[in-house]
Amino acid sequence: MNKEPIEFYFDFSSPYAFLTSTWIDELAKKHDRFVKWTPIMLGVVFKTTGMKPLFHQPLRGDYGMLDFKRTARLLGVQAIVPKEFPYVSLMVSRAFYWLEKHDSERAVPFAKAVFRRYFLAGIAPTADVDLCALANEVGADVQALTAGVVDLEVKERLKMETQNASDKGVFGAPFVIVDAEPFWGNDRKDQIDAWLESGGW
Amino acid sequence: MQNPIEFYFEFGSPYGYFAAQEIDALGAEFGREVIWKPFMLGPAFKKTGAVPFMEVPLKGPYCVDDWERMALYTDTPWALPEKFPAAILAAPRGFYWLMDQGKVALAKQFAKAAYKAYFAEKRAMWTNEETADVAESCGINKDEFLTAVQQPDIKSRLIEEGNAAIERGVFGSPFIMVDGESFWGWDRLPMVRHWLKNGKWS
Repeated sequence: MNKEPIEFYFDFSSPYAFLTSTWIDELAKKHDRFVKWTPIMLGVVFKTTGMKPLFHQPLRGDYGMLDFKRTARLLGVQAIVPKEFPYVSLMVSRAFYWLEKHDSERAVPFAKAVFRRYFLAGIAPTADVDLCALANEVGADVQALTAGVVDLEVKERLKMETQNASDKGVFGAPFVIVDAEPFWGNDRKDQIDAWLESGGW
Repeated sequence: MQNPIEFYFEFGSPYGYFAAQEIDALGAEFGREVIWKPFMLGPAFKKTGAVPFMEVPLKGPYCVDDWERMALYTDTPWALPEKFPAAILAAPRGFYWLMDQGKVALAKQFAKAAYKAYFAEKRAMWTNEETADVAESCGINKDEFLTAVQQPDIKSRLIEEGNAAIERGVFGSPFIMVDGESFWGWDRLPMVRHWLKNGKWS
């Protein structure tokens, strides 16, 4: 069996990426695979493509908000569209990469906590107090993480991951790559499942 | 009698083509009539500021691959048209011309043939002549069809249908409305099915 990781690209402020974050690990486990979580700055990618966040487009925005909440309910998640939307997910993305390097077991739980804080509690995690709360929630070293997010190394890492994603053709979130096959959008779960099951068609 | 399913689509939309293969069977499964409503996506895109797939970097190539993958996934004939995107006007005009004569079944038959001609047979559906040939293959009088699709009242009929669609919040293709609930995109068909089966979920 192919043990290459499933690549999961997302921006922490993407609603549909949040929905995917609630099932992607479980789906991978079903197929004896693991997931490589890769936060990126979608705003930077949007500059390349000229795309805008769905919720900011006339007609599409209203539909998107309704659909996001409807799709969440179907997954058993009571999600909200936070007042501050979208937010600049720079700090939490950098924190993720710091954890991945220095406290790797806590990186994915941290990512899930970030998503929950924003899409369930409605708090955009942009301030130091948010970072402290999130670090505490997952049991990470608060001081080390707070210092870590301003490291030049994690700043560069996030830029590199964003550029790398764009080079691979990632243009939206969630974006899932299975054995080089790209899938865009939360609603491609069935196809991802079928691809993992069959090895492609 | 239950509410019908309203199926909004554009004749030049690949995802609309894929949805068109499944929508009638989905309606039949739940005893719902499906009303087909072609419209022109261009004015809707002007309203939303959306850009056609092919013009968007990264997304364009993804979509081209996605259509091929979907064709295999759903076992639907597929070939990227010679000219894409293209303004497909005679087909929706001819569709409403048939509908206005009360020929609902024939209009659907023609719509399916027109979709197939463009997305599976590489035919030049941006021309009136080629579209009239497809109409003829459905048993429609070719000369009458050609005359009809150039009539000002049929042209404005299509524009009005498009404006009415936008008024209702339709911004993409396919776009499906069931009992006042909107679903955008081919990949939402399973969700439409869930809705038809269980009603609103909470």
